[in-house]
Amino acid sequence: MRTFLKWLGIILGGLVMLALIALASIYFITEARINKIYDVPASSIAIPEQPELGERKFPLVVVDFCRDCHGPNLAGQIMEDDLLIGRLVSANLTAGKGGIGAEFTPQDWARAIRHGVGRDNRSLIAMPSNELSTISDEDLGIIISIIKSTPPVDNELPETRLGPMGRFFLLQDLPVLTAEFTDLNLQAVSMPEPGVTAEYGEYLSHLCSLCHGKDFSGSNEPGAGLNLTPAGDLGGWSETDFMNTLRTGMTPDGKTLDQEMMPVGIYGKLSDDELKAIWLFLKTLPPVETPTATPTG
Amino acid sequence: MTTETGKLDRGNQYTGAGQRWRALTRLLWVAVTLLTLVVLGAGLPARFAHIMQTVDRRPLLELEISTASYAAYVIALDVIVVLAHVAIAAFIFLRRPDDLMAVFVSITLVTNGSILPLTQLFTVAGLEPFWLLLDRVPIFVGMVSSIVVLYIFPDGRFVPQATRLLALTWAALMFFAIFTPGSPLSMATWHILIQFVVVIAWAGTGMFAQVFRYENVSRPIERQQAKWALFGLFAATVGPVLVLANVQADMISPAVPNVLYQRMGSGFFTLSFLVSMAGLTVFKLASLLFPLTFAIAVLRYRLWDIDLIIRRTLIYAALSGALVLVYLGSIVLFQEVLSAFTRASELAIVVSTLATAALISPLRRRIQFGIDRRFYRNRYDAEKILAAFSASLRDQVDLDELKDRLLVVLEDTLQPEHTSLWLRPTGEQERAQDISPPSIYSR
Repeated sequence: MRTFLKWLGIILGGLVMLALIALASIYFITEARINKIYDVPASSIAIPEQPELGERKFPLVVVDFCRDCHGPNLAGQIMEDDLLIGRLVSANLTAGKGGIGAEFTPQDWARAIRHGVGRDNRSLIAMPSNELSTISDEDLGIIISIIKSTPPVDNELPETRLGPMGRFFLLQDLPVLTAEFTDLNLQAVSMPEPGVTAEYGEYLSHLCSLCHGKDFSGSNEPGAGLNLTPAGDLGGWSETDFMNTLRTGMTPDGKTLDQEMMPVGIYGKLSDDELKAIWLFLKTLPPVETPTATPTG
Repeated sequence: MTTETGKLDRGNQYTGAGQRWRALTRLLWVAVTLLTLVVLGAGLPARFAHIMQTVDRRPLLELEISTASYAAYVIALDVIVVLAHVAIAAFIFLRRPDDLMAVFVSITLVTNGSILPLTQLFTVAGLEPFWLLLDRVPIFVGMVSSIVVLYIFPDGRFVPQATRLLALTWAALMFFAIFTPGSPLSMATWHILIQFVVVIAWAGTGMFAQVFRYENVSRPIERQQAKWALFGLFAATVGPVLVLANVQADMISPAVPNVLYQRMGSGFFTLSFLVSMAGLTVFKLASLLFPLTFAIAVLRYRLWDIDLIIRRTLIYAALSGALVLVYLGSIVLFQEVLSAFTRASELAIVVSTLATAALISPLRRRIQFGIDRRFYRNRYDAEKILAAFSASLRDQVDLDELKDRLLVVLEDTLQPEHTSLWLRPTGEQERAQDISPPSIYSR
């Protein structure tokens, strides 16, 4: 019996030791990546005091897109808090207490949005910079201006931290550390002439690729978007159907889109011309046949 | 043991002057239990619908679990926890309806076990204000009694005396927090850290009171009886802490934005969901510690003597069943056997009745023996040791050997902390008592 208990103790002790070594290894490997310093050349973004939008609504829509994570008043929030996964916190973007609005320079904003690099030159976590990096200098200036004009909100938040499982996912090359997946040398970005053109539609549609995929063919993953290519669900739609769906949240076949999965409340704010441009662009996509489910509520 | 328990319990019994209180206390138990169960029952459909509407469907889709199944799982966990608490509470109440402490513990069990689901009803949209007001009553009773029970268990007296003031302050704090949550006196308006400090501090005073009582006031038999119950009582203090943590978790954990969900990948959040589900299950099942440890204290250590009634129920239920079987079987058998000699069935009935009556005593002994051996091992072992000792007495002639064996038997059966055997001096020794004390053997 004593021998059995002795061996049991050795085996359990060995397993605990292995687990501790694995945890320590994961911690030190990921810590090096999390604390890596990125040298990003400063962008020269002009931030207008009174942005002129004209008929264009796109910059406003991008700011609303930011609110999805940073909260309705852009004061940040704890988006996930889990012992194993970690705590994911979106920053307070306002000039209030605990916010970054008062201290960020235009270059800081540009690096954070376009490259996913923070003021401390370390990577931000889960910032959708890939999709935002295509925004032109002009629009980026307008967007920063709108964010800076947001009323200050005092909201001091804890720091984002990754737990053991969160760090394990980091090792699986998931796009957790944003700076690892962005073009750090990207500087000036221009945009096509606004109008009802496929080129301008493509410019506006980059944000959509976050859920609908790079080729816009969607996926069956939970919460992912449906297939927007001509071979997908929109194949039989007209331009009017598309615009009505984004304005009302109701598809031509009577399904109600889930606001949390497909926030038509945000994208429905785009102007008629902007929506028409996106529609034109979607019609130019190569058809991809993949079965996807419509995110209905 | 029974005598000690009797003294302890008599301290909590109602005297003649308190007969009205007795009726009132019984009424109070029934009212609190019914109110708790009715409010919970009435809130279940709304809570089910609320969970269905608010749960993040994305990880459920990934795991191929329907939202209805998830909601049913969460509700089932609550129902199991509540029913376990209510069952042991009802058992204690039915056994000791006149014992103030037993009734108080019983009410604590009912309300404490229901606190979490009752608190979660606050977050359910569409629940009538009337139900929400009723909901506060058992929450208040549960939050107060969970701490106060630590100050007064098991004899009903506040030990140390200062805990009386602590109990009143705690009750006032809970009253303002639950019935006037927006008032400045309400804990709900204080910083969450202060709320946690207050709740943990009060739970700490309760635990200190029990440790103090255990060390300085309780007699050995009370310690033995209350040992398991104390473990459960400490677990009961987790209830108020969880209520606070649960409300806070609701406040700071909005659904993960889909942008973040898509950015990080579904596996990331599905795992997080699984961890939350496992945590929820562990927390809910951990709250069963309170009724389970009380059940152990009651059944194994004869707290409130409930094990006697269980033992007798087991014995006489088994005995009745066996006798019925024997009686019916013997009638059939005797009728078959006697049919060759006589047509009268009365004889078979008479023979069967006599045979069954003759079986009662030996059958009861056999069943009791079997039940004691299976469920009351200590009693069974003690009886076997005593029987062996009695048998060996006949052959034992050495007095010193006999004394040693007697002390060993006492230790094996009663397991006292210390044993002393005092022997009365014989006539010759009495005459010499001036120069020698009586014989005392200790172990």
